Amino acid sequence: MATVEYLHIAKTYPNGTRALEDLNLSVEDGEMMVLVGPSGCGKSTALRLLAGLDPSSGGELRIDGRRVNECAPQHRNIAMVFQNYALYPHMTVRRNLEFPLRMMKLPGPERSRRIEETSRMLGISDLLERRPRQLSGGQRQRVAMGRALVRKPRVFLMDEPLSNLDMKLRTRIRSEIAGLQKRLGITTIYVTHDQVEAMTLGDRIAVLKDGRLQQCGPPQELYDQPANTFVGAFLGNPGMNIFHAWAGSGTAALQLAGGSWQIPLGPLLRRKPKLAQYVGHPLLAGLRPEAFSPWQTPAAAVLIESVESLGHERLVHFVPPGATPGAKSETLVARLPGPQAEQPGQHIELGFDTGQLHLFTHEGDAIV
Amino acid sequence: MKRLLTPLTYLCLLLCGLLFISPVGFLLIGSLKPDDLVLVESGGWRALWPTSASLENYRDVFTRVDFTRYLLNSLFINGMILGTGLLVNSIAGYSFARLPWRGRGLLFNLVLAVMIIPLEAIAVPLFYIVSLLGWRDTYLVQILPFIANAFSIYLFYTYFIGLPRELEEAARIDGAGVVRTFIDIIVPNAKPVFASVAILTFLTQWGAFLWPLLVTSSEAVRPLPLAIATFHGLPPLRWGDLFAFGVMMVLPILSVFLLFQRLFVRGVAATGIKG
Amino acid sequence: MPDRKSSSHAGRGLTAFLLSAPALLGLLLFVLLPFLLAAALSLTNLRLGSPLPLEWMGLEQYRRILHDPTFRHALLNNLLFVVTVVPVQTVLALALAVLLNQRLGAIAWFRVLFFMPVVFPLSLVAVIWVLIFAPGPDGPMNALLELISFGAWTPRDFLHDEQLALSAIMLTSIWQGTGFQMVVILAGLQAISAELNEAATIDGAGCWQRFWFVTLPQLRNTLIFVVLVTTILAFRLFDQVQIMTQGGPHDATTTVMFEAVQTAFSRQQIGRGAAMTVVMFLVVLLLSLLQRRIARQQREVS
Repeated sequence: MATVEYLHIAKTYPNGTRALEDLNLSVEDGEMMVLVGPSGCGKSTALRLLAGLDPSSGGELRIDGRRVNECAPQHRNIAMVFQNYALYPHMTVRRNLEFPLRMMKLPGPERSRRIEETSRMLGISDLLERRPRQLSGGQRQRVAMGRALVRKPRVFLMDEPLSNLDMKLRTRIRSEIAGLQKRLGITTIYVTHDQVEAMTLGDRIAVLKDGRLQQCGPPQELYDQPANTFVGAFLGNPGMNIFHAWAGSGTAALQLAGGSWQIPLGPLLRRKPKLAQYVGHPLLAGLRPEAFSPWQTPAAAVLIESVESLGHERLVHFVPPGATPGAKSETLVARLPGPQAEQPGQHIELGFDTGQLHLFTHEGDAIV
Repeated sequence: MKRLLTPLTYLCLLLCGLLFISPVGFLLIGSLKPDDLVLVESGGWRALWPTSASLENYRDVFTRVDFTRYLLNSLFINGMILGTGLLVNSIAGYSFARLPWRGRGLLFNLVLAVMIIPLEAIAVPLFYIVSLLGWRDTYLVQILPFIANAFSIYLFYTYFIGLPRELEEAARIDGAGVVRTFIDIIVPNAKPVFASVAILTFLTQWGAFLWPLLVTSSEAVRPLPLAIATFHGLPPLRWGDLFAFGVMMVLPILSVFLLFQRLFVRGVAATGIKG
Repeated sequence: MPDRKSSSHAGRGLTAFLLSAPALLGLLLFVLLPFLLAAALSLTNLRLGSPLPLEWMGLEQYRRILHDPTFRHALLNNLLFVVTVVPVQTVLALALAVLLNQRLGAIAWFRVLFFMPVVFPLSLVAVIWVLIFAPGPDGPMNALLELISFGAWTPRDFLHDEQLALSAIMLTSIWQGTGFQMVVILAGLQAISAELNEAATIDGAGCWQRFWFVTLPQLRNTLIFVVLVTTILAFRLFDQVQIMTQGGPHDATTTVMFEAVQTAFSRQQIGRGAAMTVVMFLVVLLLSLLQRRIARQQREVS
């Protein structure tokens, strides 16, 4: 087992694309680290650099404290599961599992023993003589995991391994992966664009955007204390509502969404002392959809735009009264329990729990 | 387009097809007839009817010229071009398609440029070069210039570009080097392009005429297409023998074609993909 | 596991270059070098076995061949060949491809049938057609023409007839080449999505309308390619001429390539022959550039 460190890692592709800038990240022994972010954020690049598939443009990569930048992939003792599995189409499952072992020049009996062991662990023993095209999506996924695990790597890399599966299978295999990883205790780096996967799988999550690390920490911590508006809006479905706020120097209240809601500054300043510096400046406020409820103060009469009912709860899209009508960004979402009770065009009173209010600078950084 | 194929067009097609194929039938039937009958009967339906069939002409071919020699020459030359060509061009195509190296883009553009230079345009100076080297009248001179082929490289390149990159990356992580990856992972998944290139090479090389005509003078190394031209000019002109020669000359490639006609069609179709 | 320090990326670069080296060497030695040599030789008066000293002539050879009536005749023959064979062969191949573009058992055999001549070496094709064009009423072509003209045709000696010899070679070439084009066009047809045709049918397009407004525009790039290849092959015309007519009668069937080979080998005028092949290369180059241009415009539009 192993630790992994990215130290000031940068990657610029030959065509000039800057995929990563000054990435610093360390993964503990046995930890499941999830790299998450929108497409093009550099998460896959980070994985490919560690795998040795692409050279880094700067910085140092360490596995177990040793520099591996110059080390060929096969000498890094890592294994990788690809998004499309990359099973060798012309080989049977057995031969697929055997390939890395043959490359390691393991003797035949040892190879058979390991294939036996791994396929039993993954429940693919019956599939050994089949070819990849004869397997279902879920089976292929398992074989890909098997090919990665069979060589007992120090680090296990997974690049969106579930994105080619249907919803139900995805949920099932997700929990299997989590269980397997915990049981084997292999240091794992898992790349996904799906925040649900990130939240459910990661011991820690690293959120990336435009080649920069936004925040890294346990899932709940990132959810509760996002370091910036991007992390807030990215995690959660729907993500955090972000809207304009203003702490007027003359008044003693924080004006939210053009004055739709007003909160006394006093208690807020006690909770977020740094806020004092931003009095008189435009700010951004963040509220998770579940922070809203009809019975709380401060309340405002909001205009319902649409309601999506999910059966046990509903997502209410609304425009606060102080907002400029028609501006898309001014539409907020509230998650309310129970079946649909509102009609579009209707006005309802909606308040929120001030304890769940997040404040950010105009640039989007959290104010604590 | 289903309605286009009314019975009438179908009949037309059948007729056209028969007319189209009649020279082949003419060749085959003619090769079985006595020499004097071939020309006499060629002006009517009897041209396509074996009025008196025998394998006499075939025996004549073997007695009048060293047919076996020519056949072996053709097989050897084509075999060598095919074997080494597939190897040399496939690894080059792979290198251009997938491996990073300095100057790759520039050299690949050069390959693309070379693609439009026809053999005929360089036949004269190439002849001059091989004469200076003293290579005339050898097998080597009929093989070596045709191994590296820009169009084959291009076909391999386009195919390899289309293979999922992850296959090779998986192999790399599994510990396979460049050569091992190519042999164990790429080649088994690239059978169609190998077949296409093999067929196109075979099609162009089996009929090679101009170049061997220029560089060879002795029977010992001459291939079949030259031999039939010589045989044509070898008095007395016996059409039956000539046709028997023709049948035997086309038989290897025709039987390969009939066996693998699907592959042939796919191989030829592959040339049009670039359009 | 050994943490062997191998500079993996540089090592791969070297392997990669080595893999392409044999092919590059081959192309360099046997295509590029001779080509450059052709360009260089065409500027000299090189003659094998000539007592005259080697002389730099500049563009003199080009001026001479362009004023040489035989060469001009050869060039004209190539052009005639192009403007006849290319349209006829393309239309024929297109018609066949459209008719044969169905998944029917019997149709597959027609495809094989029409493709068959492609596998015949040109030299053999030429020999067969020499007999087909045999003079006298017994010659198959004469007999056929007599049959379909109800006896109005008087037998001719096609290959020794100044007016007919070139047409005879054209027919031979069309017979051999149509199958190749047909298969390429078939591949193009099969690349057109069925939905496109279905959409047009729903929009009320008939058979011919679908052909004109859906099939043909979609085939555009394939057709450009096919026309280009046939044109280039037409400029390379040699085998049939060598076997069937030797350029005669009275240069009626001579071609640029035939002239070049005659000049360089029979008359040993290497410099002059090289100039001819360079002219041919320039024509091919021009056509290729033209094709790329037209095809690219199409891509920009779509």
